[in-house]
Amino acid sequence: MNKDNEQLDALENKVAKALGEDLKALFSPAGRTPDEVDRAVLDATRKRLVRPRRHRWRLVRAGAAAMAAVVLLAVVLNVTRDHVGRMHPAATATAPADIDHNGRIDILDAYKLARRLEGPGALEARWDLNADGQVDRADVDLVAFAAVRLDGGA
Amino acid sequence: METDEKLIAAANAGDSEAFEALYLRYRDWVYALAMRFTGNGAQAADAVQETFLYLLKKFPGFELRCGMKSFLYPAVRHISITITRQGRRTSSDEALLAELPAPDAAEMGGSQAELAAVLETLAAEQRQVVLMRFVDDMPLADIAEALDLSLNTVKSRLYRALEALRSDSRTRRYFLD
Repeated sequence: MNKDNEQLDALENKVAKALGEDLKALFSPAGRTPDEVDRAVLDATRKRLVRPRRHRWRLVRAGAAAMAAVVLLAVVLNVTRDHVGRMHPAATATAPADIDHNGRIDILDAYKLARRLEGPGALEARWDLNADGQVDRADVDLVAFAAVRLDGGA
Repeated sequence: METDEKLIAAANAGDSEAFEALYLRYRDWVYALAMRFTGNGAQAADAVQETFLYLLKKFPGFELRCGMKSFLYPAVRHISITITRQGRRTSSDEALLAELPAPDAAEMGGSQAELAAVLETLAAEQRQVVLMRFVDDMPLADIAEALDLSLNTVKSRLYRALEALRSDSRTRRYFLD
């Protein structure tokens, strides 16, 4: 069979480019694929294949994160408000916004969280107050908002 | 340009634009091939549509285990024959393929007319391999895959076809020796 392969290779090497060109000219259709075929195939494609919903999922996730943040903020505010009359400023040992665990949520917590963001230390998952999957400046703003609200309400 | 494999992976993930890219990449080749099998523009257009709807139904979950042309070729051939048969009552696939419409000699130059005439003297299976090799630019292994033949059989058919062209005075000029 090697001999046959060599014979074919040798013969193909002798084929002039013109053979392919003339064959293509002979067998190339005069027209092109009709537009109505394009439309039919592409319509069917769009119906059958569902585009990845990354953008939609992003919106859903952002919405869920925002909702979680609102709920969390409400919880933080309510818990602290309950304590306002008894201890000033409001305190809760379990409030995630109580960054320094001193039983109070105040502007120092926001400051300390901001410093932690800039420093090399590890960030705790519970500081993700808006539940968007990361601890960042938006969480600092939430702590600050809670602290200001408490101060204002005191 | 994205590879066929990447486009198929994206289409399997639901990306309709990836399938559209595949369609646009192979549409005109499928049309030319269908024209070769049917000799009729309307039937060829139907064959293109049917071929890609057939391919589309394989998504999601489509796995390409050969070249795209190797996958499409038998589908286009089968669909074209089916469409042609609906218009004509012919006994077998091979009978239909043997009747493959030859290009119109009146529309060709002299050398091309001679080439077409010599092609007509080849056995249908030899002519088919020559066209797949030189018109469709398919590698021998892809031709074998598309026709479900051994590589040796494809080589043998191509060798005999080329020898026939070389030995005919009308097509001798296509060979360099």
